[in-house]
Amino acid sequence: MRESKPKIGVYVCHCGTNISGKVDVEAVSEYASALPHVAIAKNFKFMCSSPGQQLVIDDIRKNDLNRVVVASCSPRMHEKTFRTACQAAGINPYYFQMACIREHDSWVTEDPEAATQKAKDLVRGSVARVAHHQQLTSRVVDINPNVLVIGGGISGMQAALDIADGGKKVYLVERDPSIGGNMSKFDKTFPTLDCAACISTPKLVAVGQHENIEMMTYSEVADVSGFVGNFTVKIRKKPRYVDADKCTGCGVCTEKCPSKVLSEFDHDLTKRKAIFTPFPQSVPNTPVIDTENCLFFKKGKCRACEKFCEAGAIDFEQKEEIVEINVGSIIIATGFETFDPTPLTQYGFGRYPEVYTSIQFERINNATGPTSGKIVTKDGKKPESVAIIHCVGSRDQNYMKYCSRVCCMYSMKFAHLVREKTGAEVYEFYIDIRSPGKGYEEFYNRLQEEGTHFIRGKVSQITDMVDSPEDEGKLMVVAEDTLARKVRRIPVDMVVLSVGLKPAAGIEDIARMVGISVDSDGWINELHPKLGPLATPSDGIFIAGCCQGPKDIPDSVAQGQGAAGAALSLISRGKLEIEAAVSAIDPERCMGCRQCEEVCVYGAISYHPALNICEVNEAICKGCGNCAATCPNKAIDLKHFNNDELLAEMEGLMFGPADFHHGTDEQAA
Amino acid sequence: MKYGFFPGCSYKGAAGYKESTEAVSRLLGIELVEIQDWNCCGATSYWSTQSIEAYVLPARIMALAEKQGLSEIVNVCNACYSTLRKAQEKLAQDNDLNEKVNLALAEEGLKYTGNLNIRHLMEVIVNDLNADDIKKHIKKDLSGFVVAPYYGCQLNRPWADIDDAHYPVLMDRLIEMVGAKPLKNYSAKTECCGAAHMVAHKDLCMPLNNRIVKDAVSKSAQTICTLCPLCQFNVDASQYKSGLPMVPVIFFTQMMGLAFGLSEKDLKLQKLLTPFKLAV
Amino acid sequence: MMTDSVLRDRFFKKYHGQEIENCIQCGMCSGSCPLAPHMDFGPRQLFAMAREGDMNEVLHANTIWLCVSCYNCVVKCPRGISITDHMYSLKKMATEVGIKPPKMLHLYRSFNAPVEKNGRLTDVMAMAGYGLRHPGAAMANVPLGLKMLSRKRLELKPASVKNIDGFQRVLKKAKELERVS
Repeated sequence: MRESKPKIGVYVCHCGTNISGKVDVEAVSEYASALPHVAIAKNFKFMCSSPGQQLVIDDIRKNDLNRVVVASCSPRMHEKTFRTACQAAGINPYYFQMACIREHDSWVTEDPEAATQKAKDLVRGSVARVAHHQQLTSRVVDINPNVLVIGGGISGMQAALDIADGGKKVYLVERDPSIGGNMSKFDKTFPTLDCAACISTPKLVAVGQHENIEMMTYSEVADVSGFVGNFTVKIRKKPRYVDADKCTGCGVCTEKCPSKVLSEFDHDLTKRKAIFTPFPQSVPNTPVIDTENCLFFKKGKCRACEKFCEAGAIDFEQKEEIVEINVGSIIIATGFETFDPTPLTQYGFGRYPEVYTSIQFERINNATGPTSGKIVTKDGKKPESVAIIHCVGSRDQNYMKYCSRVCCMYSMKFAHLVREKTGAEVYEFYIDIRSPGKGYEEFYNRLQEEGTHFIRGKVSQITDMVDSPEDEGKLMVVAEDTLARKVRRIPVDMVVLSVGLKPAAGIEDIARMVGISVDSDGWINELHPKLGPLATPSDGIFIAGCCQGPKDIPDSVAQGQGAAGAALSLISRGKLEIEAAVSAIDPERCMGCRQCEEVCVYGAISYHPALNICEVNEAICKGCGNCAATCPNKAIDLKHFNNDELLAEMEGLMFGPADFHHGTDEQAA
Repeated sequence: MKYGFFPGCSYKGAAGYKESTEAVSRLLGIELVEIQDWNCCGATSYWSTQSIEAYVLPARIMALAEKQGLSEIVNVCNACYSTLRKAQEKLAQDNDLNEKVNLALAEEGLKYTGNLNIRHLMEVIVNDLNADDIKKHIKKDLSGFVVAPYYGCQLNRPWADIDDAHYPVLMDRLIEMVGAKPLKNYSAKTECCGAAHMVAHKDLCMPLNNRIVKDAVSKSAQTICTLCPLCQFNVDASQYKSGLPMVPVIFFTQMMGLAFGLSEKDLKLQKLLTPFKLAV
Repeated sequence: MMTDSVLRDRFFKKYHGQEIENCIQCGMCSGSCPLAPHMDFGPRQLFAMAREGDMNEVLHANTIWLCVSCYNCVVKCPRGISITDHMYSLKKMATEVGIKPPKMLHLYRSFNAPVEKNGRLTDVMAMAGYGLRHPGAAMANVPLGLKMLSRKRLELKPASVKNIDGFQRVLKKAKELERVS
């Protein structure tokens, strides 16, 4: 239904010489002026400039235009600009159509004549289409100012702090008993060698104490529904079996617990108790009971922790809780986990006691780790030589084909620490040293000066088979020294496998819940690799840190701050206009077959069992058209891309003015 | 249980492999149906010198098996096993080659379809039999007998599907099943013995064999257990007049035979170059 | 002598060698190779040379003949390159261009000859053929041979397939097909 007879203005842009260098813009505007319903046709140097927009606005007002076509660049560049101009002049912004004669024409066509002809065709199509446009109004929704941050590593903590400091409420969900993430396991950080704990512990404390942050540790996101500005999230709080309000964090329970198991935090290098906090600076410092190893849960007796807890905080009756929260945006900061090198049997991890993963070696170097920071072998000896093996699991199509980005640098940090603490010879086996960062290459140079052996070659084997008696008891590291082009067998006392980074387990579940995707390696897909690194295709869902791909600490922190900024920007808007070009299901025609629901990648369609029909949530719909194309009963119309509009455009494109004239007149009548 | 059987050229001449395989299969109820009129698989020698014949040789063996109505071919040699599998894999991927191979086989009225499972006897015993079916035949206590499981190269490489490429465990399990002790930290279990290069480049291959022997001896193995005639020969013969500490090298079927109470004579253990005497 | 570029083209196209362009030169193959220390160039370097077209040098290197087919490199190659297969191809190419036959080619020929004739092989037959060309090696193995003989380990009777005519027709056809391809 159209309100009035179309009266169209056509504006052909020169785009400097981008278009006019190839397309005869004068001829195109002259041609356009003769097209049906066209009242005015002009050409102008830069339509997107202020005078260009003003030209459109003035013409609309003076000549009572009710439709506008601009023939210029891609709608991705300036559709919004001209819609806004139309609106400013008092006509519905959806009465505008853009003909792309730059990307689709002048830039890709050799022959000026052909380019001009194509421009005329494109303009003709747009004119035919715009005559069929309908008025659409976009909806406005309020934005809930609360933010959910998923993951309490350095990136998530930074995001939470920035938002909280900005005066907004943050829910920080962490599945482990303490926040801190991987960084709290590290000792020193490259390339400055400042102590990881010294710089991260204050963040943990700040998060724990911030009045705007509600920490939910030992908790997981169970369900997300709603849309940008209005998400409802269910959080599963696992029982700690310790009442956090009563617990003083004195640690007596842990001391008295008789059950010992391998420590996850120390990556199996030490044992922890069944009631424990992961590390001394844990936030919160309320312990949890690991029911799989607690004697009371396993065998029904013990309760030593309960007996000795003066605060009476032990509560064996605690149950899992589902908490529902409402937020306007979500930041995913689920981070990474390290690659398990067990499948690379040629390296003997798990078989040779002196083969460690890099994350284990971080713990060995850490003052709160298994050796209180001393670098010693399992039998307590200071090593005379240490091999550090790069690219374990990374850059290897048998495991992870990508470069994990941080291993070269942390490996060199290890080399420095080994040299400093033990004076041992250090062999770095690398394929390529990747040190792109401020002060990183200089750090590599420093390590060279310190006498680290850099051997270019991927290690083929680690074995206890030695060829000469003096190497007895050592591990032989076998690799081709590709620069000296000889195979070396180097005897060492310790081996560190610099394992790559992979997405934290469970990332697909989170991605699915918020309606976004992961790439073939399992990392979250950002909205745009260059221009949308922290956004996702789901509005209101942001990402930060290693959940998108391996990153070092500075980049993770920067992304945390960036995502916080994006969330705050959204909150500051207060209200959000929702795109009107969305699909609509005609309830009269819908048969409830749910095929549309299946093809909707945004989760915008839901099924009503009672009515046996499907419905579109306009706030989530992106107007992709999948559903409209799929619906077997043609019950779905994609607004602004309905059949009427698309057919008119195609007719306009395909037929000359004579046929076109005829067709449009009949339809318009 | 009935299987097609490809003995390969070196089976008969290998030190007691044939005798022990026959004795053990009989006890376990494994019927090995020899492929009639089989030929040499060609092995590395043909891969290195011929493009089509290298496929025709293994394809003829497999076509003969198909003609006999066999669906599985059991091998006792790593090289035969890998040659058959490799040919099968490539022929499945390359239609043109498949066509040519069948053109050649048609000269003898044979047809290769590739519809066969290529297997190794050791893996068949471990995977197809119940542990109890094996254990019930044990007559002799080998609990003090430390056996170094030596797998060689071509059983698990390049496929690494029935077991790990570098640190396999199937034969370890078999050793355990018959009551002996697998050498747990035998690092040389998939080190290369040099294969045919022992003939032309003995000087280069001796250190490889020495490593295999030394790792077993220094870790107190009483024997090395193999599953390939060429591996067995190289590791055994390399010790001949080497002046280094020695360890006998037997076939897995001989080890099983010992546990099942067969005599050293029945198992032809006297044919080994490094003398074997069970002392448990 | 064929030019390097013709040989490279032949290796890449006829023998599917193009895959070596994926190599990142990490050296995993050479480090894994049991005989690499004795090679003129390890497989890594050989491929670096081949892809830049130093094919004559590649085909004259002892590298290809020292490959023992242990597949250690193949299972570990981070780029999934079928290194052993490329060694087979290069051996065939080296033979085609008529290099001076190395010991391993003599051995392969001594192995293939009785197979062609009888369809089967005995160790004695292969050794006898090889021993004729390398009497030194044969003499060095006499004590071991005698020991084997004393243990009734030597199969002196030649083995053969029964339908030898059929077998030879098959091989003849295969040779014909090989010539035309």
